Amino acid sequence: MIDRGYIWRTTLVVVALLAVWAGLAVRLGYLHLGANEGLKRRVLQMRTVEQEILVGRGRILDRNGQLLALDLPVKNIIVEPKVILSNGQARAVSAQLARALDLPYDQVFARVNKPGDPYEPVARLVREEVAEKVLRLQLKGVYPEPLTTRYYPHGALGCHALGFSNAEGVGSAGVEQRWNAYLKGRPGLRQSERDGIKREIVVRRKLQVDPQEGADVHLTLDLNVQYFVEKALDAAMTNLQAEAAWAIVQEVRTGAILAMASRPAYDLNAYSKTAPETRLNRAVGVNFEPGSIFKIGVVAAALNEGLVATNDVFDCENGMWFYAGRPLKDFHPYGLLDVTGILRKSSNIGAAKIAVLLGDQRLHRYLSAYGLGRPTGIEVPGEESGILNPVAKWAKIDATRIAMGHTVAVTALQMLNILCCIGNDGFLMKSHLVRKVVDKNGVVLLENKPEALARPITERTAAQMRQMLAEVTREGGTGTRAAVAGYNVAGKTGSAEKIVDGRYVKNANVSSFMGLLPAERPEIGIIVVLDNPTDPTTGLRTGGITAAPVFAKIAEPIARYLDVRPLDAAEMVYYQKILEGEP
Amino acid sequence: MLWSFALLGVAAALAGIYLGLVNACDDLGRQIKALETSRAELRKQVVNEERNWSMARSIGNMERLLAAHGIVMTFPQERNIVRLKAAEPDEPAQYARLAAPPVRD
Repeated sequence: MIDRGYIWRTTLVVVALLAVWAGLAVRLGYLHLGANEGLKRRVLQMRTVEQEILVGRGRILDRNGQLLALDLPVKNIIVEPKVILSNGQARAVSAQLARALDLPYDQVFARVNKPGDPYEPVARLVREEVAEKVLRLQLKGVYPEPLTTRYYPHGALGCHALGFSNAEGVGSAGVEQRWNAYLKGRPGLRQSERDGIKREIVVRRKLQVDPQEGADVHLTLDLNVQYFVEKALDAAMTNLQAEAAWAIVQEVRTGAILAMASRPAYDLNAYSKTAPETRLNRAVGVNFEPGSIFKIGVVAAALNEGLVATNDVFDCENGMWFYAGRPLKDFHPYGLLDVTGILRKSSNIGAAKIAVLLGDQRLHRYLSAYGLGRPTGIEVPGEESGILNPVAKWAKIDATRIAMGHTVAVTALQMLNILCCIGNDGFLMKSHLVRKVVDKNGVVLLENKPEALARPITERTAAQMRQMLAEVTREGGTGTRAAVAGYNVAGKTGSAEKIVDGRYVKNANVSSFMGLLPAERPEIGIIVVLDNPTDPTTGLRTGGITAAPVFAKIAEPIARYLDVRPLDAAEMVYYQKILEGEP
Repeated sequence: MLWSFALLGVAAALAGIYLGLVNACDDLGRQIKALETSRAELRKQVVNEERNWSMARSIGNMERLLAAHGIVMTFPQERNIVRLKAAEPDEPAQYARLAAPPVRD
């Protein structure tokens, strides 16, 4: 017989259980079916995840597809001193880490030996291979932290043209800044749900807006040409004790910039440790009085107007000429010089007389046609316009001073453009640094084609100028040190005294050389500018002594590398015909 | 009674199909996630390899390597180059003429 009490107790338990289950069922039904908007929203909020899908910046590449800037996955190596010290492994871990990371032991130990510290980066931005090496050590309390950083594989090479993007991923100098809109891309968006351990439930994705990755910017720069230029500039900075140096290499026929370099330079991967003045892209961001290299523009104008012929003779007054009551001197005294001689010897007086022949209005018109006094529009920020005053503001002697490259200021690129105009049969081409912009799907978003801006001089004038300028680098010229074996170089030397406290000073100058290679049918134009150099053997500062050899050092390997072909006999006949006026 | 069992059977079958579909979807979701992760990893590897390749073939690096192995190499001089060309001299490409009319001549 069953005890009645037992039945009651059992019934009570069953009823209680049923009541609990019923309560839960009611609660469940209420939660699901009832008006619990607030609660439902909270649950949804906990489950829903809205995530911005970040994209890297586009890459920057040179004309041969060499990477110049990219977003690189790297790792920070983190140590947990709290864990390591509690295991008594500080010295052993430090020794192993120091070996793997190629760091001094003391430096690593100083990071590890911080009692109570839960997080200490011991090495930043290390490459994947190095991080793998550390992982293989299986050290407790050591782990790699992944991140992506903007990386410039060639360090300081091309730093002023490339520029950098800052820690927020915004282009802040050079191409990185000017082309930020294309490079930065657009982040995507994902709305989805996650499970209890915060893993995304892919099948519950509500929205997926794919990111638009940054486009690749292909430059006209050639990394190897850039390397030759920078190597030569580094040597010049050391050997000639120059305060600064800059150079540009341009394709004469297209206006494409092959190299653009400035010294001092800086490592793009450590831009934050660099002074702002070091970041200045002097090739386009510095106005300077060009000195005698400017004579080419004046002489070309006079030739083009038919005011002078190459063999017209001028009296160079034995080195001293008074015009409008003011003296004008030559570096060396000369008597009679023809126009070729004026360029070959770089006579200020001869050039000044040619400028007087031209007259202020005509001279100004030509200088404007060459593009002076306004930016070239090159695709990097910080370009200067140069200084070319309107004729109304010119004093009587100004034309004579402009003829020798004073009272006018230019950027190196503007000056090179005048020379390349002479090299390109009188066509002034638009300088450009960006070849094309291509998105990640291979669609070309923008392409720069060669563009002619003006034709200030005729083909014949240009050929005559090249012939005269070739004399500058031959025996008796001021630029013999710029000669390149196997080629005729058409060039011009320049030396301008610097202005300090509003006065020209004798012991500080800007020296320059610019030239075309080969002279008869130029393919490349190069300008080299040195700020206050001194030749250690002669103590001289002129462009012919200091800048011309730097030009040769740049031109020689570039001619070989680009396979610039010297002219053969049949081609010489063709160009002689142009000189003689036969089209 | 038979109808009830039949209904229960159909409901159970539908529930089974539903659960199977949910599982299949979850599986696909996991595969998608794994592929996305794998793609991201592969992209990282590609970027790293591109960077390594770019570094390896730069002239600066080659010069360093040549110097490290004591090898001296120079570009060939013009006299060392054999050129084959057409009988008629090439006129240089004049992009300016193709691109835009000159402003003044």
